[in-house]
Amino acid sequence: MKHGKMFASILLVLLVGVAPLLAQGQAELEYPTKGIEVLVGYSAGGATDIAARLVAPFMEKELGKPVTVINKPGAGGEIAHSATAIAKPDGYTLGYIHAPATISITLNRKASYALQDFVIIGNVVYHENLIVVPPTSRFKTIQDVLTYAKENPGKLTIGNSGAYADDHLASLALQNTAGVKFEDTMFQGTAPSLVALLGGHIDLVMCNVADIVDKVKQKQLVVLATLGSERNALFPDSPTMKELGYNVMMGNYTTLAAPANTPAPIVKLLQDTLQKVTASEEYVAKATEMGLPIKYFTAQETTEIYKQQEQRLKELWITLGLPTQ
Amino acid sequence: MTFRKDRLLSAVVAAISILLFLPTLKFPKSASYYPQGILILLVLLCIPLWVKAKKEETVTIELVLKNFLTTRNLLYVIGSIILLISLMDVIGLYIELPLFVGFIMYRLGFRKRLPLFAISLGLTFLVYLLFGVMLKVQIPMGLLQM
Amino acid sequence: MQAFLQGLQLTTTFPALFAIFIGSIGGIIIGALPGLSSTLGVALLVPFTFGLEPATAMGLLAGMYCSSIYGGSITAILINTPGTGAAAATVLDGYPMTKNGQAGKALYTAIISSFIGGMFGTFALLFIAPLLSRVALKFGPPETFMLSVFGLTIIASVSSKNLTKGIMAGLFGLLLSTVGFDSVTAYPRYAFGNIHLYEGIALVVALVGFFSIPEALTLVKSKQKKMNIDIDLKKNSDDNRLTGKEILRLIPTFLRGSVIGTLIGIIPGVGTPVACFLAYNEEKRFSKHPHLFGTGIIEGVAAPETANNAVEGGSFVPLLTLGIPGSSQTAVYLGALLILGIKPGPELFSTQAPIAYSIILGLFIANIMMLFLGLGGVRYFVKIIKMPNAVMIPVILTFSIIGAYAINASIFDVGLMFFLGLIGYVMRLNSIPIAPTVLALILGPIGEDAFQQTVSITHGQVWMIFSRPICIVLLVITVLSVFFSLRKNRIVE
Repeated sequence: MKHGKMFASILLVLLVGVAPLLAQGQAELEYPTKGIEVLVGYSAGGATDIAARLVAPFMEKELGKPVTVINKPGAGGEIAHSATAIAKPDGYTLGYIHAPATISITLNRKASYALQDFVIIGNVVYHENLIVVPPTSRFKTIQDVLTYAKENPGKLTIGNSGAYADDHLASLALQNTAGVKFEDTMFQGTAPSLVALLGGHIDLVMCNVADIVDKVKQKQLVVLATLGSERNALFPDSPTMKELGYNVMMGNYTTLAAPANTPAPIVKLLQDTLQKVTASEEYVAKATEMGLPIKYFTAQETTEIYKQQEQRLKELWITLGLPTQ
Repeated sequence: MTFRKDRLLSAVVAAISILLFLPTLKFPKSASYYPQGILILLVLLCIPLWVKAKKEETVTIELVLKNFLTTRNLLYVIGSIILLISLMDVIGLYIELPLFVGFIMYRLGFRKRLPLFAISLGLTFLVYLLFGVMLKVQIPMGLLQM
Repeated sequence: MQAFLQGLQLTTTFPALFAIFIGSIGGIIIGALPGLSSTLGVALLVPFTFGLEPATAMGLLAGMYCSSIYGGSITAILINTPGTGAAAATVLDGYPMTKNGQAGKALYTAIISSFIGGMFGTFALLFIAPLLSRVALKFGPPETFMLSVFGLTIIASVSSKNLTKGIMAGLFGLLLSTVGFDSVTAYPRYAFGNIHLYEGIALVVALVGFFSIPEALTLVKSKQKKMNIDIDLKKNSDDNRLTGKEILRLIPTFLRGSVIGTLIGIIPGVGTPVACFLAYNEEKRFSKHPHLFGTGIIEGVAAPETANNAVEGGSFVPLLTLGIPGSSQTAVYLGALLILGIKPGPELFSTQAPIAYSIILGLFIANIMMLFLGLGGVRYFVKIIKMPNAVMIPVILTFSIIGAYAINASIFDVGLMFFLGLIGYVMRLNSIPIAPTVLALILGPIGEDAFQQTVSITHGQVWMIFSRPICIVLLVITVLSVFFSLRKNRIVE
């Protein structure tokens, strides 16, 4: 009996000693205990906002706490990026970043954040850049365009959605790789550039898939080529620049991220949650219904993509002597 | 010292225009021509403004200051607005608004107690409904942050 | 024809009509409140359209769109503070009319003009949309640039008496419009390192700052208890209504305003404020007594109010025929349409004709609803003047502050708005007109962007634009406009 009692007390001491250690392991996963805010750098109704608002309710269901989308537009997304970067790294503030936009801002000017200030959770949306013309254009294939451009450098006007926007950068990258010179015409958004194209005031427009899906369906526009790694199912007849021998792939990535020092277990939880959410049938169905070009990449894949993009953009910046202020 | 009103205006505008010219020197060339052109035109227009300045309309520095400072109400209003904006993040708009509205109403002569409270709180509630609930705008919560 | 009738059926269901009614009431309120724009109003209603039938959803938005453009004139007339950018020109004669005791007449003028303009624009949409869309496409960057140049010459006519000060005000507006990223190099001009200024000064922030704050501050300084204007609507005075004779007199005005509004509406990217100033200017030019403009005459209210509602119908032309929004409100509409599964574009009238017609009919009915609400509401709107200043001032200030904040959820914008407001107040004290500044702030970016695009398209040889017919026409109009207004100024002086 005496031994029994001693056993019991040793056991008790061990339990009491070990329990806190076990509890600590539990406490780290005591997340989330309150609502999570996700910052979006553009106003309500824009492409990123729509994507964010699609993902949020699914994440909310998985995590069990409210996930709220907060719009912080301004400075081409910089305000939201900056806010995300300096937010308390406790997992309750997340934000959406983009390639190339988030990267190009840091190259174009003295940004108030750096790419290292973020840890990536996963990629949500991806759509490649592509070149469109009206069906009445004298250019029937992209080869026509390139041939003409080689003989008439700087004569072809190609519209984009803004200086150093993803499509402008795509145009610059294409010109660089293909060895041609276009005249880039800047517009405030893709819509005005398409109006100018349809009115015959410019020759080409570089934009994204989502911008013109409907118009291609309605035969208002023709996609001459895409800058993806493979042909887009929506435009089966449009070649990729890659298959034509020009190794240039540009597109727009919308990625969920957290401030860099967010604790690893929390980041892992978020990454796994996002992976689960984006694989769910309901999510995919809803996205397809809305016409959203979803494309999930894991955190590792996305981090790698961003590294490559940063490298390529840095090279582009130096090669073309783009302004760095 | 007495100045003709328009001449004071002309001098101030010319001075500010010249000051604003300095930042444009850092702009990239193509971006700088437009603002520079505007500023040059502004300075040029100060000349006819100076010349055509009416003799009858004169001001002195004392008059300008007196104009602004004598109307205490004006200072109260401007001061409250500045205070409200600076403390918006700290205190939160929903607390600031009833105080702001009530204070200004009182200072402008509205002394009926009950309507004063009613309108201050009512207006804040209206703002909450319209902007907080319906438009889902993220109003600064300040102290009310949950 | 059958599709038209089907569309009619869809729109005249009880839910659709009720939606139009709700949208219209909301529209008048949002339009009237300074700080809330009609774009915000339409955006506000979009979430409510989920789950509604397309015709009902469109009715809701149509009611909001139409009535909010009208609503801005109510506060513009009564308290010199336009509720929306569309009413910026209405203050020029609207508020003087109130000061002359003719608030009732001004309000009736506004609602009737808005109705006629709206109907004209919608008729144009219904019957000549394809033709108009072809005209819209012909407007490339060079044409838009010339149009902005012409628009800027309007500054001369809204400068009231002092042309020099007016032009300086305009230049100030142009300078403000350069703040932010430049379109070619994305360099943040005049941002002084503050990222909140990178995207420039938002129009609503400037509008509220330049109109509401100076008005509020002026009222504070005046120490008046309330507006000493006796508006007794029971009196059968002509000051309280618009007589039949006056309506007849306004017919040419209605016509001019409608055409201008519709045309401006079809050009993507230009918008209601430009239309209303342009209409005001043209009205003044064609008038036999131009010097009366600014003192409070009905033409001065009718012209802008007709034009800004006509823009509605016009702005639907590029939206429905090309799938490209012609104004910021229609951009929000586009989002709503896509969510509802309606695909605007050339095939809209062949594949989804009944819906297309129901959208247009929705606009018609919304206009009629607005007319009734507006006419019935005048006697209530006028009561706003009776509000003691001690209450009105904080109300104006509150909505100004919230309105400025709501655009970008930015406290900086509120501070900016107030800063501009102080400048506006100083401008008022120095008799510098504010309208040119607002006009230039709107046209500046349109003009500069178009110019840069023109330089790009012509590869630096800008003079080439004068081989384009529309540019030549616009050049001639601009030159004539400047010539005639200088001449008239000299005669009057």
